[in-house]
Amino acid sequence: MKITQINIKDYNQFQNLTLDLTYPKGHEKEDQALEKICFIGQSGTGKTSLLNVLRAMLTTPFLQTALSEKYQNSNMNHIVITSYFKEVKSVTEIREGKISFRDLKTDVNPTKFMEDFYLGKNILICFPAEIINNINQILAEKSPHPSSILKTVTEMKQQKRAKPRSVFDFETDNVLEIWNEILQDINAYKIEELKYSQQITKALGINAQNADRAFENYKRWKQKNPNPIEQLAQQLNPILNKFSLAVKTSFDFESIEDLKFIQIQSKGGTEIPYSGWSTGTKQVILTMTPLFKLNTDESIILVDEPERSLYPDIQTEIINNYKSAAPRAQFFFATHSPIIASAFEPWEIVELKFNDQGTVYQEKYYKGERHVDNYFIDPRYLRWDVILMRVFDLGIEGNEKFRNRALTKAARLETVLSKLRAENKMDTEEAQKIWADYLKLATKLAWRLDGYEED
Amino acid sequence: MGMRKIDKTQILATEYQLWIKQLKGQTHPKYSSSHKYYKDVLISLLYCQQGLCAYTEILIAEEERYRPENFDKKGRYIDKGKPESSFSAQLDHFNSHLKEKYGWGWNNFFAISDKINIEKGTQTVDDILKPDSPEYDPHKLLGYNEKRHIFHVHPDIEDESLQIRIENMILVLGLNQGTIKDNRRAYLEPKKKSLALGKEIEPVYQFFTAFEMIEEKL
Repeated sequence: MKITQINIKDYNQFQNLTLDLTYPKGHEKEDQALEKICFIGQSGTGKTSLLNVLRAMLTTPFLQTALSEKYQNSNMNHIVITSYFKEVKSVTEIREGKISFRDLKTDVNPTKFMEDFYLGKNILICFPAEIINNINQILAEKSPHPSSILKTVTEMKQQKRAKPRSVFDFETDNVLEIWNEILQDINAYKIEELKYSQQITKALGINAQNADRAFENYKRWKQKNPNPIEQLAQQLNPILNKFSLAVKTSFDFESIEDLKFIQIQSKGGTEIPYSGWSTGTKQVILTMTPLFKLNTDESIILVDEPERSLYPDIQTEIINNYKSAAPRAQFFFATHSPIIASAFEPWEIVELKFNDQGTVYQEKYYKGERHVDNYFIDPRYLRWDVILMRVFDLGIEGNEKFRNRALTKAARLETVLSKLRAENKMDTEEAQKIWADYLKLATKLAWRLDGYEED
Repeated sequence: MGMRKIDKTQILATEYQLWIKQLKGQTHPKYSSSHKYYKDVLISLLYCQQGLCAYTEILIAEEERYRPENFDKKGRYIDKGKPESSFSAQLDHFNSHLKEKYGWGWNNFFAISDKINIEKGTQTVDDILKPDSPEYDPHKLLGYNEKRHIFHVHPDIEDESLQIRIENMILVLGLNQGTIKDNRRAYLEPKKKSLALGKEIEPVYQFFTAFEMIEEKL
């Protein structure tokens, strides 16, 4: 499913907001749903609210039913989301707290249609901005390491779900249960490997021949069954390497805890316990792993503040990393980062602004017809500081209290120097002093002195 | 000052003018942007300032908004709603310390860009760059670095205490504020290049002082 339009009436700060989420005319994907969308705007304009609207729509069963309990008091009176299921168009609507399908151009019953469409797939994967805090809080309340509360496959079998999960919402309080499901195959593999290891140990106690046989069995099993953690390592390591880290692929079996969560190690091979992971490391592992492990075909993926805890160099790549981890999903991001924004085509950015009445509208980046040629802003072409000023509407260039005084002084010195030059007085003591002062200030301001004009 | 000297003698808001005259010597009623004379004063100022921010000279109102015909016979502004604009006009008390007791004094009012108003806040001012003061002459107090589009203290002013007074006011009034400077550069740079090549240019409608200073150097 891909969402092509959102229409919200009288919900929180949205009085009447319509978002067209298709590629504009003249684009090679004209009229198709945007593959990734980035909400930007002042705090309070409703970026996270929009993500929550989508969550409410997608976590509620799709039939004539009341909104799930969590959203019942959220005043969602009239929200319409238009979406496409491959070639089938449908309109999902929330009216008076009830969610319903209409215009679904198929004879099949909507619930049945959704079940069939999402068979083996996942509807929603949702990462809140506080993904790390959420997990940390649970850990603080229960234990210092996720492993001690995550379950092994055997433990999990006792609690098998009636229906496979198709919504992975990391904002819910059963987040550790979600992790159990995501890491299920890795856990199963570790347990199987532990069995072989025990067999070898046992056989060694009998004689060398038995031990050889047990070892051969283990090797055969290994050949037939690729280690899922190695595959995950291949996917995660290019990003983790930037933190000088890597996924640990070998198991020590020192404790049952080793069986449960992902382990990471330094470049030198030293294991880093979860409590020693940086927040950036956690952010990357906790959001990228589900995308690598889950089927993301036709999924809607919500990521609030993808820049959280990430150093700028990682931010420059993270959107592409997400996109390549889930190439057939539709992403919705909300960000405050100009670096994140620069990863988007201009029509993929939804900038929300307040008007004088305090209601929210979408700032347009094009004039006239919505055609690629009529867009006058493209964040992919701009420097970060220009994105901050032109796209994020930051009115200042830096720490103006200090920068502006320095600029004003340096600009005057420059004018005085050009005057002295015109009067052929550059050799005077006064001119030399001004030149020295100017050089110091201009260097601190990072002014180029070679006549080159920055563009 | 980014602005030529402003002549504030013609007040379109005559009802306000009468009201303020009657208050002479008394403490003024509380100033508020929802007061009935707020727009009357604002539009009257925009008329005197030709739709430009009093300090930065960026365009903050189109002519149709401040035409004398927009005032009725009693001298009240006929409100037709405000068009959306990226630089909206706000009333500023030049000396914010007068706001509490004499918040409606005409002499202390200027119409300025909202971008400047926020940052100017309650900073202490010096009348040396007050745009309507009789002694004010931007060409004697200010210089303009046309390469970087930055206003600075006039290069010939050598008195350091005077330099500091002017420099402080350049900062207080936001003459080199980020967005303003960015817009001024975008507006004046093509004109500067055209002039240097001896080409005809369209008449300027904002940033007059900066433009005049560029012209002087060419």
